[in-house]
Amino acid sequence: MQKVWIHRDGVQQGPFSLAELPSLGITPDTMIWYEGLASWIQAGKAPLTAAMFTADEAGNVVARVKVEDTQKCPPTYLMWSILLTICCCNPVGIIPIILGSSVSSKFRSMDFEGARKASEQTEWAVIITFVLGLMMLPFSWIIYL
Amino acid sequence: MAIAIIAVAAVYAFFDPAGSLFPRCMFKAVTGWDCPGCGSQRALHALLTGHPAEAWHYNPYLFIAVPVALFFGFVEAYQARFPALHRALIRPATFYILIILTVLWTIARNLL
Repeated sequence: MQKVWIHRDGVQQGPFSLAELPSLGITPDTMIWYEGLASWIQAGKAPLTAAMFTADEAGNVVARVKVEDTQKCPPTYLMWSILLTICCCNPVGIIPIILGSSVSSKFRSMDFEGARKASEQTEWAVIITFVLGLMMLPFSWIIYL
Repeated sequence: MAIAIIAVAAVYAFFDPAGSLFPRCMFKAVTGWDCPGCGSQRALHALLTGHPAEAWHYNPYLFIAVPVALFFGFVEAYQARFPALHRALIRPATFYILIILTVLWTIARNLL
C-alpha cells in the first residue's frame, strides 16, 4: 500500500493511505510526497493524486472523490443476482454476478468512481435480467400448448 | 410484500406446478438441459405440502442458494455495522466461486 505524507501549515503529516486523502481535505496545492517522488510536489501534479481532483461547473478545482465513497463499498446486488439464477433467467443470470465482482474489485483497488459506476451497471443488469425473465413467461405457455 | 409472499406460497401450496399454467423454463425449452433453477417450483410445492425430502430431490440448489443469497443481502445491508464481515466476504473471489459453483451444478445435474 502506497504511503503518502502531506505538508501544510508548516507541519508535516502522515503517513496516510491514498484512500484516506479525500477525508483530509487536501487541495491541489497541498504539498505531498510519497516514495518514488524526487521531491515534495503539489497534489494536483503528482501522478498518483492528480486524478483525485476535477473542476466543477464554476471552474473551481474540487476533490473528485467524495469522502463517503471511500468508506462504504457500493452495493453489488449479490443477493438479487443469486436469486435470479434460480428463476430461469439463466444463463443470463450469471451476468449480474460478473458485474458485481467488478464493483468489489474496483472498490478494493481504490477506484471509487469506477466502483460506483459498476454498481449502477449491476443494478441495471439485475433489473433487465428480471424483466427479460418476465417477458419470457408468455412464450413458455405458447411453447407447451 | 408480506401479502405477495403469502399469496405466492398459497398458490404453490394448493396447485401442483407440474400443471400447464405455471411458467416453464425457457432455457430448458430451447436447449433441453436443466438450468440451475429447474425444479424450483416443484420443490416449493413439495416443501409447502410437507414433503421436504421430495423437495430436496427436485432442486437441492434452491435450499443452498436462497439462504446464501439472503446472507449476502444481510452482509451488504449491514456493512456499516459489520465492516469486518463485509470486508471478508464481499471480495472478487466470492463472486468467482459462486459463478464456478453455479456452472458446475448446471453441468453436474445434466450429466449425472
